[in-house]
Amino acid sequence: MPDTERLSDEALDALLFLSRLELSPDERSRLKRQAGEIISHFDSLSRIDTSDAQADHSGAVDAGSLRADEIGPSLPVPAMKRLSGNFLDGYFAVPKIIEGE
Amino acid sequence: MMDATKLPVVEILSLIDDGKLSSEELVKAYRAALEGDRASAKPLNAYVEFFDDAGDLARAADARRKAGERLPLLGVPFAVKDNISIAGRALTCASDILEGYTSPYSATVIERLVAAGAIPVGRTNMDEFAMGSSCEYSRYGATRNPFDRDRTPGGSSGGSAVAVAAGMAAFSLGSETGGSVRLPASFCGLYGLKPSYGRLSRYGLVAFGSSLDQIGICARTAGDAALILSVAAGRDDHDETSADAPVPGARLEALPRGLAGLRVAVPGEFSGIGTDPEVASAFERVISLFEKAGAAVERISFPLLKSCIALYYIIAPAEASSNLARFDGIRYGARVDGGKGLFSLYSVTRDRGFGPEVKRRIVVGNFVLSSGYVDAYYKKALAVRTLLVRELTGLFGRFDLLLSPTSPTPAFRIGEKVDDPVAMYLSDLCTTFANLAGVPALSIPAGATKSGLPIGVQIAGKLFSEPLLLGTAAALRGEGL
Repeated sequence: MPDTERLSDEALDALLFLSRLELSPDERSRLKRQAGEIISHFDSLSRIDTSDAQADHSGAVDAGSLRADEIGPSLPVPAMKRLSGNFLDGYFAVPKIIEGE
Repeated sequence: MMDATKLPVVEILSLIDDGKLSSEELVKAYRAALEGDRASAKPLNAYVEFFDDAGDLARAADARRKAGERLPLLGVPFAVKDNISIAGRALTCASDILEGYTSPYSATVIERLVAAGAIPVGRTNMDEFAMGSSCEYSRYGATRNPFDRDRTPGGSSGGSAVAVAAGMAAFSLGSETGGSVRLPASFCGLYGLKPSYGRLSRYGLVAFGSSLDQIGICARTAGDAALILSVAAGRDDHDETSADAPVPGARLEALPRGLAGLRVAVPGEFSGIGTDPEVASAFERVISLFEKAGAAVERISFPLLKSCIALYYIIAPAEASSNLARFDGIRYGARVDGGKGLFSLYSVTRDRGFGPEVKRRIVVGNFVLSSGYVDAYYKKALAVRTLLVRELTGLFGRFDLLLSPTSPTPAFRIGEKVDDPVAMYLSDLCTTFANLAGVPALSIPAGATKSGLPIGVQIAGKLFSEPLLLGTAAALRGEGL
């Protein structure tokens, strides 16, 4: 399959929605071609026999024992205020999230 | 007058102890090197910010020393990649999307180094969100290689490597997800340590691929890397993946040394076709040094290593697509609100805030995790990763070290691969396996090409074998490397 056909336009639309990205037509066309080239390189893995290997490896070290469930000191309020230019009455102000008429 | 800017940490400390150098003089010299470079025709662009108060911090360190205080790194200035948090300082990951963000806390590694007396003097350039192998994908523009300013320093921690190589810091911190400290160290003639997964706390490091990420060290000598690691390592309650393993000693004298009797594996998959002849020649010289010193070197075949690029570029983007979902214009940095509703706010902010490589990886990551493809790609990759770890564990039962070039080529030209992501990804051919398996690896300077470009070789060992890697590097130095 040509690399440019690895991703259909419909699939790319769905991926861009999942990715929360809006691209220009040029950028979209380039991304479709490059993503196709990248994905084609993944095919080599299909030839590896993994019948006796679990898909459960998520890092070389186990999480280990968890820390004690105790309340520790939190970050200072002045430092947290710097995260937003809109800090009001002790709260972060964010854009309206309930939309519609 | 002595030029202190290229001295290793161990020598700096000795001079400061003897009263022949002050921390303030050193910071002044680094700043002068930076300002001189900024005035040049092709500035290196190592730093995105050199802190205005670095001199004040150095003066305070000098005063503490004068008052009799003694700490392992008191007064030693270091540079920090722009994805590691320093309380009260800006942090952007070289991305527009984090414009205006200030870190509310410090990374544990920074806290430990500062508690040991070290002074963070600035933030260094990087590929955006550590995604890249050349330090070109940055909102601040490309960083240049000090050995040839038309070439890249490697990435993604290019600024951190250049800050040290160009005499603008005593050592630096970078981050490693697939080779991002080792590759720049190799291209810039430095030691680049990727510690074992869990050796250093990831708290305060902006997440890219959480099962792969580690903070790494760029240093002028193996001894410096050992000293810095000894201060920064150890269990941290803020990072449940940090390991409760014994922390290595600071002094190289206490580390395993000598090459005689070492069992060294040289996998054919990392050399041969595609390897630059001068890199191949330098690599063969290192093999000879091992053999002459009494090590048992065996050339082996390890076919799974060839699959690590594909493996890495499935797992890392999958993890990145989740980790970077938090940058939505609401919680951090920049926000672009055209008044067209919440979804538009998210997507327009992310479209304008992220650069092309980050977008590519987010889309590819969502692709390999999406219904219909997750089994064929992501779960398959995890199964192959399990095999890799199993086989590598077996290999490190028979051998002490795995030896390879760090990169198949010396530093490549700026712009050469920037529009060809697959070619760029192949720069990581020899490095990704260590992140996938969580094992430590060290890039060691191994000479230069005829045109003066540094060449690096890499040694890797079993989990938590950093003392062996650093001791071996020091022994190689003693053998004339």
